[in-house]
Amino acid sequence: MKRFRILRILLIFTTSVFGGIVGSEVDLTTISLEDLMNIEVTLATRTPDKLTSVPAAIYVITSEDIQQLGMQSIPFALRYAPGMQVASLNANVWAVGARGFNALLANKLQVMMDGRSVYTPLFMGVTWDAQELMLQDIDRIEVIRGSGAALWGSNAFNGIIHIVSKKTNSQPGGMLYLGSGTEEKFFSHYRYAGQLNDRTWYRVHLKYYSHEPGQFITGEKAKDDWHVWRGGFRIDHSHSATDEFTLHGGAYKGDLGETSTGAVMPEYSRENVHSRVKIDGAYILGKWTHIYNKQSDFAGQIYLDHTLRSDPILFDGYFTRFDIDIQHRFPLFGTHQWMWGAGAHFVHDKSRGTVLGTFDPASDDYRMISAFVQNEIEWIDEHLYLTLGSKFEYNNRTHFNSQPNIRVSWLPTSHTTVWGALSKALRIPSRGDEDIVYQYYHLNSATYFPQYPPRGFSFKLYGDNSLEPERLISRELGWRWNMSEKIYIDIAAFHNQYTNIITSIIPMENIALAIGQLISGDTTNLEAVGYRANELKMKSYGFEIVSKLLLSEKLDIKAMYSYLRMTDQGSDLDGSRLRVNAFADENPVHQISVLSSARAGSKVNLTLGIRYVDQLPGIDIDHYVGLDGQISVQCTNHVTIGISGQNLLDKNHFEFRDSTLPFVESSVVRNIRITSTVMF
Amino acid sequence: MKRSQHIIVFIFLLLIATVRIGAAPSPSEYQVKAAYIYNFVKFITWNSESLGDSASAVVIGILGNDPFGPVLDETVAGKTVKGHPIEIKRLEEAEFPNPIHVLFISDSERNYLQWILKHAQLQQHVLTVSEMPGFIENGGMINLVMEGKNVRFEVNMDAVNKAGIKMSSKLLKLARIVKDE
Repeated sequence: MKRFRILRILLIFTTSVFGGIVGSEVDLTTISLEDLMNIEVTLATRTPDKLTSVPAAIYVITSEDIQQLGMQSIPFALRYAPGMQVASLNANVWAVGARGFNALLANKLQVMMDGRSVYTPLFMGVTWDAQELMLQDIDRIEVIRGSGAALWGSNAFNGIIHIVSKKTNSQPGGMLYLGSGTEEKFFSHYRYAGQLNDRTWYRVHLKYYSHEPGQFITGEKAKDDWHVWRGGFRIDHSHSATDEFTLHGGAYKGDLGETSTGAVMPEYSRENVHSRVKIDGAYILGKWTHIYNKQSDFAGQIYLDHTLRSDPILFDGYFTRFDIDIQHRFPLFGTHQWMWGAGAHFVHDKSRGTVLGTFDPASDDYRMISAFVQNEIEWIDEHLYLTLGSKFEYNNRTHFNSQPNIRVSWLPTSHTTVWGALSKALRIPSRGDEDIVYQYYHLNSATYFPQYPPRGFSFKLYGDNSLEPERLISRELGWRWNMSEKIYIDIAAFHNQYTNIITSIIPMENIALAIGQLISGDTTNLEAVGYRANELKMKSYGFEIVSKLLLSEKLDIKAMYSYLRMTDQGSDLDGSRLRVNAFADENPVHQISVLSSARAGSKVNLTLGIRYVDQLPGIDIDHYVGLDGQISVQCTNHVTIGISGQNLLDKNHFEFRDSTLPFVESSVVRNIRITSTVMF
Repeated sequence: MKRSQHIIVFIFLLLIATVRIGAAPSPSEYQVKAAYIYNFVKFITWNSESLGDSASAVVIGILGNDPFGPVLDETVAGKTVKGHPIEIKRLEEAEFPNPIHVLFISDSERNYLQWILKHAQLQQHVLTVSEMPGFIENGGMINLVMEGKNVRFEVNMDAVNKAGIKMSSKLLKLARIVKDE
C-alpha cells in the first residue's frame, strides 16, 4: 500500500515537471511597451553556467537560500550543502567537516571569507563562534568537497568553504533586522551601504546576537548561552575601469558558556565544571585587482588578523597572523590558460596555561612561503579541458612540500560535464599537534581498582615536534547535467587514501606501568602517558547527488543525498598501543536533505528544509530528522516579516560528542523566532 | 506519527502544491526581455554615421553566456527598423565587431563588467544592456530588472547621453531613470 502511494506521488511529480514547459503564443513584438511591462513571466533558473563546467565537486549556497530559510549562522547554512558533516556540540560549538573526519577541532577543512583564511593556525581548525558575517550581506557560500590543495595549499585537505560577501554597490541603503526567538533572546543587525563619491562605495554593519542555553542529557538547563557583538565595513573603490581596490575590516567581542566534565580537574571531581569563554578579535584585508583583459588579470592582497581567546579549559592566549598573496592569470599559445601565485604567511602566538595544560613553548612563530602554478589547456575546442597544477610550500615546521593535481573535464554537450581529478594534499601538523602538554581525564583509581587505596589516575598527552604532514591521495569523478531549464543533476564520487593521520595514542606499556605502580603500593598519583603520532592509515569513499528542480515558477526544490564510508586501513599500531580518536564511526554514512521554496505572489514565501542525519555509533549519537522552515511576508516595499523555526520535529536532540576533548554536550533545542527586516 | 511518515507527508505536501490546473501559459522571462530589446532598437536613434545605409543591419551583440537561446533570433526574425534589418551576433570575447549598436552583456561577464563598459564607451554609439545588479552604478545604460514577475527597465541617462545616443521620450516615460545628468 505504502509503495503504491509513493508511486502515485512520483507520477504527479513527473507530470508536473514535464508538463510545465509552455511557450507563448502571442507575438510579443506587436504589443506596446506599456503592455510588455505588465506581462507576467515565467522566471528562468539561475544556475550559473560557469559552475556546470568546473572540474570539482562544487555546490553553491545562494543568498536566497540563506534568506528564505532564515539561516542564522554559517554552520547552519552548511547543513544544506552536500557532503558536509555539521553537528552542534552545544549552542555555541559546532563540528563542521567535509567528507569525513568531523570533530570539534575539525582540522581538515579550509574556510575562507572574501579571500582571507579563517582557519585557526593553532589548532588547525575553525572556531565558528568567532566567524560570523552578517548573513544578509553574504552573496554566496561556495562549498568545494575534496582537495583544493593545488590552489589553496596545505589546509585545503578535505574541502574548502569560501564565503563571499556582496559588493557594496549591489544593495544601496540601510537595513535593520530585528528578531527574537524561543532560544534566541534577541538579535539585531544593522547595515548601511552608500556612495562616498562617483567611484567609491561603502558598507558598514553592526550585529548583536544572543542565544539561550540548551539542555543537558539530564534534562537540566545547560550553561552554553552566548552573546556576541560584531561590526565591520567594506569599501569598494574603482580607481579606473581596470583597477579595483577593496578594503574589508571587522571586529568582534563575545562571551560564551562551556561545560567540561569533572575529569578536567585534578581533584577527580564528578561535578561538571562550568566556565566562560571570552572571544575578541579584529582583522583588516586590503585587495587590489587589475584587469588586463578578459583572460588576464592580477590580484594582490594583504591580510592582518588578531585573535584573542580566553578559555580557562582549552586555550588561553592570542595569535596574530599576517598574510600577503599575489595571483596572476594570463593566456599563452592560444589554448593555454596560465595562473600562478605566491604568498607569505606569518603567525605569532602566545598562550598561558589552562586547566588542561600548556603549549610548550608558550610562544612561537610559524612562517610559510608558498607558490602555485596552474595550466588549463583547451584540448579539444570547447569539449575537453585538462588542468594541471601544483602548490609548493616551505614552512619552518615540516619544510618543503608539493601538492600537485590533475583534472580533466569533458563537455560532450553544452549541458553536460563529466570530470575527473587525481590530487595529492597535505595537512601540516598544527602547533597543538607539536607542542601540546595536556593532562586530563583525572580519575579516581578506586573506580576501576577498588581493592587498592584510591589515588589520582590521569592521562597525560604530549605533542611531538617531529611529526610528518598528514597525506591524502584523492581520486574523484563527477557528472553534471542541466537536463532542461527546470532540472539540474550533479553527482560526484570520491575515493580517498589517507596516510600519516595524526592521532593521540597511549602505549600499552605505559598503562601497564601505571597499573604496576598501583599494585606495588606506590602512593604517588598515576599517569598514563600518551603522545600525538602519525599512526593512522585510513580510506574513505562515497558520493553525493544533488538535484535542483524548478517545478513551477512558484516552487523550486533542491534535494541532496550524501553517502560516506570511512574505514581503518589498520595502522602502524600493533595492538601494543591504545588509540584515542576513532573517526570512522563518528561521521554519518547517509545524509539526505531537501530544501523547498514556494512563493505565493511576489510577496509571500514559504521555505521548508528537512534533513536526515544518520547515527554516529562511535560517539553514541542516534540518527535524527530535522525540520526547518520560514514563512516571510513582504508587507510593504520596505518591511518584511518572517516567522521561522529550526528543529521543529522534536523538542530537543543531541548531535555530537567529542571523543577526545572533555566537553559536556548539550542538546539542540527547537527554536521558533519572529523577525522583521526594514529597508530604508 | 513516525519520523518516516513525517517525511512522506512533507514530500506529499510539497508535490500537491505543484499541480496547477488550467493555468494560462505565460511567456518566459527571456521572451519578454527579447521583446524589450526589440523595442529599444525601435525607439532609439543612432546617428547616420553609425548606422550606415539602409542595406546595413542594426547589430545586436550578446556577450558571454547567451541566456536567450533561440528566443532573441526568433523575436527579431524578418523584422526591420526604419528599413534596416536586425542581425544578432554572439560574441566570445570583448572584441566588438564594428559596427555594433546594442551590446547585451550577460550575467556571466559580471567580473569583467567595468572593463567591458570601458571598451564599449571607446566605440561610441553602443547601447549597453544587461540584467545584473549594479549595472547602472557601474556605468551601464539600460538594466532589465524583475519586479516580482514583471520585467521593468532602468536607464542611466548620463551614460546614454555621453555615448551620443538619442532615446525616444516614449521609452524615457516608461523607464525608471536611475542616473540623471
